[in-house]
Amino acid sequence: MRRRVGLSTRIVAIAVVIVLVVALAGYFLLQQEAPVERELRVAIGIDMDTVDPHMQTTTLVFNINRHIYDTLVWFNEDGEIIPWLATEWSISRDGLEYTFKLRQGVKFSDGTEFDAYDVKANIDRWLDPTVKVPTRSQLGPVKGAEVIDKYTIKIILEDAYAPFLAALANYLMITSQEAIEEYGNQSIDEPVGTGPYILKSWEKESEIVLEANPNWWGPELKIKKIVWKIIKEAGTRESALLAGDVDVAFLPPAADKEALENNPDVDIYIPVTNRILFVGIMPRGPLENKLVRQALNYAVDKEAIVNEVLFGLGIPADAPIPPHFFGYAKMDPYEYDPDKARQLLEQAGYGDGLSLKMIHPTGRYLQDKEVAEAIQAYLSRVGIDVELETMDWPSFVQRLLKPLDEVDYDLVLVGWGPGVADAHFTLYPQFHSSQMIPNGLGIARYNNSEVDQLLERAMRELDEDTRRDLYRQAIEIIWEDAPWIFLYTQRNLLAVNKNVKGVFIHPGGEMFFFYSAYFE
Amino acid sequence: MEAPPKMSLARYIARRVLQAIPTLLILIVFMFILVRILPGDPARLIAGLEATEEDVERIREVLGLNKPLHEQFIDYMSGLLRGDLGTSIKYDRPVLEEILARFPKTLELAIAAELIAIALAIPLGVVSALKPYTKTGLLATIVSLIGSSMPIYWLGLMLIYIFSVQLRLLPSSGTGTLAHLVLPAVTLATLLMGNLVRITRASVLEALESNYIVTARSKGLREEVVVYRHALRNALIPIITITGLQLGALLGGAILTETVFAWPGLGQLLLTAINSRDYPLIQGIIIFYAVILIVINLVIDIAYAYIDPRVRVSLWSSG
Repeated sequence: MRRRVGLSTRIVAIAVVIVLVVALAGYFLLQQEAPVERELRVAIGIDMDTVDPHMQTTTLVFNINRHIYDTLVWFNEDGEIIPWLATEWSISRDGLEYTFKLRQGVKFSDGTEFDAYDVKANIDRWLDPTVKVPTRSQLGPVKGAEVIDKYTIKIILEDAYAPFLAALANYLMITSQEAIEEYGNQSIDEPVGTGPYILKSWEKESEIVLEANPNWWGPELKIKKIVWKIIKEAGTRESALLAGDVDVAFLPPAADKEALENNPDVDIYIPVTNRILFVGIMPRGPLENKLVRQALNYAVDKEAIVNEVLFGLGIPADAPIPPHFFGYAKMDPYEYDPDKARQLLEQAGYGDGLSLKMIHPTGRYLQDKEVAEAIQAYLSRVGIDVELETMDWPSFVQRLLKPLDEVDYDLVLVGWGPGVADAHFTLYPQFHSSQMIPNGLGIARYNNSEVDQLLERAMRELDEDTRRDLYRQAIEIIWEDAPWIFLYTQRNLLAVNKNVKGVFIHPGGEMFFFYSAYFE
Repeated sequence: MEAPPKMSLARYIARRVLQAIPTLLILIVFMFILVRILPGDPARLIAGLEATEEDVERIREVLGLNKPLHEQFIDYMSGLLRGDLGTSIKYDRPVLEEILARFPKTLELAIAAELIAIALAIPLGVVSALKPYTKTGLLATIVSLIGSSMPIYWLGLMLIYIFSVQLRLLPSSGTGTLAHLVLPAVTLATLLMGNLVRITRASVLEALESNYIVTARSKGLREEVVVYRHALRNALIPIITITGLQLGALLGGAILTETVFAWPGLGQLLLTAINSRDYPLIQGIIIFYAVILIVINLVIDIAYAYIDPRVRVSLWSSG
């Protein structure tokens, strides 16, 4: 009997010893890792896919790369264009030629000097059809570039394109002519830039380390090292910030916004983004009737959705574009009014109700599934029965881009977030009749020749006031026609340790820059 | 019992490897078709919703996705024969390099979790089999219940909250030091322990009730000898099987644990690959995973042979 007790006690004792040793080893190893220099640690949700300046597609990846590369022009806090690698510029009267004077004495990280030949090499590569440039068309109808002298470059357009400077700032990062010659149409995997930081190391799915570029032409960098840590789970990003493992957390869980706001050690930023969320309405059957589409707009309480479902991370729409866009014009909102919605439905002959199907993605937009369910609930109150179909993003996109005769849904919850905060980038692809899916990406298949003309004129118009007025006219027609249920502009959420100051927020609200940041 | 001649072991392994080839081939064809049936267009996903169709078409051309399916398949197979798993669509780098860059991290986590699970679950299972109605027995039941029913996502977040946010003892996420390994390994080990405790207890109980134990006891052998040499040794076979299978599953990457703790392993890579419909990368990871499973099964079979002479005889003689 004594022996049996001895046996089990021994086994348990061995187990306890093993656990203790592991715990102690962990504890002592932890004690050793105190940071020697103050680096800025930033928690982000996805890894980079490329460091090629021209193959960018993802806002966050561009965000990181834009610390390594510079652009010709850039933005200030108000979203106005400011000089960057180009110090001044002039635009020909027909809007086809942009001549830039370039900053002198700027060096690339490979030691070569920056000049007009580099810019030309970048433009040429951008236009080279054998290079994988996903945003090629977004830059505008660029024809080519001409070197005028060592520090002067002329970029020539095929057609006037009013938002060209903003597009240059948002898309064209500059690498050296030597790097372009070395890589050709292959993906550049060792970045050569003139930007404030240099890529020190990149451990896949783990961390990206940037170090200050000692030769940067700009103001002195207070933060000498930035470590971007890839943490996919939003809750873990938040925990890492609260535990002091990182200084900045991109997009912590929206539901914790209030708790973070009340935390004395944390500052939060909730910048307005370029992304507007809406329900695209397929113009078929009952939905061909404008009254029905307006009824849908009156039936959904956007204020309540923003406050209750999005935790305040949105701005209810009063135009088909976000309020900070060039060309924005405030409309009379469709106030929540279920009675009016019912009345309009009755007037249209659908007083007995309707059955509709809505598709929506999950995990793509802030609270997307919850928003879809809220819309379903609101519509049921006015007698519209909505069947929801939830999909992961890749499957959703495939369904979204089918031609109308293959579409088996009536409504689609989706967001549209162009890189440039200009009405053109939302209104033209969404409401110009040439852009209907499958020819373009016009989700609501909107077809109005008057709007077509206004959008075409506005795209080429260089006078800002005239251009604004053209957009106002187009927006008025679209708002009245209600091809969407206009929902809200999404806000972003950034949580920062309160001793980090000076973060520059890109006017698109989705990118954050640390070349001006410092520890307090 | 004599040790088997070396040649027959080599022949046995060779035979098993040859058997694996048709399995792999079927898997490759199946995977190739399956990933392409999944809705979603990698070129569109790369370019983004806002990109023009023209830009997306260019990407399709650059990636070779506009070619007919059979041509893509022939390209892929001829690459495979040269040991080339293709190029990742998302990362634009060789698939094998991407996999090998993550594999050490996955291996580290899997082995750590499995060791913790073995160190705790096997003693617990044995003790609870020996003394089923004691506190230890109850503890074993609780551990196995917790392990098999606790959502791993929630457990991970709770551990982070307690040990990183509140106590500030351990890092919340990422890798680098041994301290980084503790929370993810413990989380994963909890999941593994559930099964392991139950299997251990059941197989020890079964062994204790078998005739040879009765014989051993009636011979008047000491209880320690009976338990250690006779019962435990025989009970080990199902335990090794489970441990091996668990390890095999973990080497494919523990997606949830890796995601919660931002552990840069194969599981996260697979998730990224699926979300971007990166066909070559998905195929590459699955093939890699299949090869690992085949190897592990082989190792398990060989391990049986060293523990159980009966298996040894049947394995080598049946060749």
